[in-house]
Amino acid sequence: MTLPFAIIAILTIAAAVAAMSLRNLVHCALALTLAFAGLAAAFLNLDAQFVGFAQILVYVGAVAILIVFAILLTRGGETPEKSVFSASWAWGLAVAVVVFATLAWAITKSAVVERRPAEQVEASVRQIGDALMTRFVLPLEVIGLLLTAALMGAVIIAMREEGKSK
Amino acid sequence: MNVSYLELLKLAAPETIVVLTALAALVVDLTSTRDLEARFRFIINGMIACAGCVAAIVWMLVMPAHANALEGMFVVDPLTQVVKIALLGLTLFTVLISMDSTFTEHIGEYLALILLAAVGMMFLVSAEDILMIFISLELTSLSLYILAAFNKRDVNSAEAALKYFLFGGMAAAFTLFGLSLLYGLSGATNLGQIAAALEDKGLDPLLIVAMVMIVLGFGFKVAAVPFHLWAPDAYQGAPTPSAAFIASGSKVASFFIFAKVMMIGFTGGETNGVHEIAGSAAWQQFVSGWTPVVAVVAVLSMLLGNLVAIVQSSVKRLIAYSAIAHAGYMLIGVMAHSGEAVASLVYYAVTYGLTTIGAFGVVAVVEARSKDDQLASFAGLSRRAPVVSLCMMIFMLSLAGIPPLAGFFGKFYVFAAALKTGAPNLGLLWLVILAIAMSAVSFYYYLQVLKQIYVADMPAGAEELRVPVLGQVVLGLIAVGVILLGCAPNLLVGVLQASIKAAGL
Repeated sequence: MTLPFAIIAILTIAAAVAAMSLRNLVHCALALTLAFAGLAAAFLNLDAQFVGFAQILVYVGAVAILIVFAILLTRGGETPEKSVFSASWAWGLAVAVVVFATLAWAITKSAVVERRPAEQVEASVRQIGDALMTRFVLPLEVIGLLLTAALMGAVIIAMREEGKSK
Repeated sequence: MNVSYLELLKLAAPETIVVLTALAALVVDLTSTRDLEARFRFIINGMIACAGCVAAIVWMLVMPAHANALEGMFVVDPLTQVVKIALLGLTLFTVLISMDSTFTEHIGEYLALILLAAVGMMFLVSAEDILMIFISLELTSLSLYILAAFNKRDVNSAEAALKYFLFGGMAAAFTLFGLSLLYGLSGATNLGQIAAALEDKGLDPLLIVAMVMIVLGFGFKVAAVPFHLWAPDAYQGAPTPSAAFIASGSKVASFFIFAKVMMIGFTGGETNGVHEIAGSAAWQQFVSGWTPVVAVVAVLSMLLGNLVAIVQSSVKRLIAYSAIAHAGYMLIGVMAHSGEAVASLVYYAVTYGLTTIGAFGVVAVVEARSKDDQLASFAGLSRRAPVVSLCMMIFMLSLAGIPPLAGFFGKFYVFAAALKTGAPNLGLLWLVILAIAMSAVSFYYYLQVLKQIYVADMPAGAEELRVPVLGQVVLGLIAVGVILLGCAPNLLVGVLQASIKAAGL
């Protein structure tokens, strides 16, 4: 484990925990943004530049701002009085620890760890674009449909039904 | 790499037709039928949706294709075409039973989302690449979450959708984690290449983790115990046609791709039609890897589904728990993992889907008049709506598995395939015995529904139920389909076996 990775990991996990456990929703959103940024740094650390910058543009840029807007427009950002922890948080923690232990055990025992890292391949934006229009053209189209469905669904669910409610 | 877009478009023509139909329904509803009465809007736009489904079915019947485009991203062969035709048929019936409903003003959007979910299922069926499998699974799920939330006047619908969405999101995260571990282990996204890459590696602990996570994800999609918690609430709260679609189409597609992933992805060295000898050591190892996981899920589903269904008083919840039990029976078919088992599994899933849509159609009819789906609301239905009651009797008896209805032959084929696969040591015999014992239990609650309909007294002051002619015709058609597929199972099984041979699975 290298030092930059350790710093990025601690930052990301701390931000994610804060996003779950803070009381003020706006603070949660900002912590979430920090977690997104930490992930972007992790991608950059792995030399996945396109994914890293896309993460910054889409999540840190657009999604985080949308979340903050949505919170400000709907709630006015009041903080709840009660604790935000669920009553069964101890159980949740236990399950999480067990799952983490299993995963950690499986990863350390796996033969994959001994595999030497793949050779660095320089993936330019042009290559990614080419791949998206050739081999991955079908997934790209289906994602288009998925976004259409999501957009329609968001409008339908958020739209105020007028008059007819009972 | 060169891709001929025209070829691809030709191969994906059925999907394209359905997408265009969805857009057409949206546009027509927005531009010309908005001011009409809701009933007419539903009929006009429903007819457009049906026409699209029929056009796609006809295209596949007239232009049979056999191709593997983009390295397994999109595989068209006789088998996937049969499954797609079945899926479109189920979509068609879902649209038809929803025409009488009044829960929404957004009719164009509702039909468009049903069609988009159907497109997702069609892509799912054709996918032999984990990237494509995940994306089309998400397209289907997302559309279904929205369909579950469509009744905005009812808070139960919102609750159903939220539960379905939260569980589904979690399951999707697990599936994605499992699939990315699989990619990391094998360096490939194509199922055949994954199997080839993993063949001589032995059973890596990470591979077991990947398997468990993938089984968990699919287990959620097919509502098997212990990932079933969403199903009863979602079935009960969602608008009835949405619930019917979640219970039928989504199940057929999920089971098909589940079997495909398990058979191709986790079987040693099977690449695109070249069979590995079934006795090789690697194969045994993989099978011993995932079969116990699925066996546990199947046993729990059969036990819990059947036993909890007995105490239900809401018919939709009863169908939901029985769906969990049926998922258990179908998992036995997945475990048998032979060509014949796939044929029996698809037959079971399709006939089950058809029967469930019919049962939900009857529930929708009763619900529209008595405002709830409690067993008591069905009391004396045979005297209030004889045709509908007769249909319900056929559906319930088929679900219980009484010959000569389709449900009996579905179970028969799945169990026979399971026994044949484990033939030397009868490995799956105990599961089959348990399944048959549990089917006997299921008689009780199915007959409970029929007892209410045929034996119980009519509530005082109940008058004849006026069921629209179209609704009666549709339910009658589904009932005839169930009887026909039961009396002449070869209509579907023969086609399936021939196409499996042609597809080389």
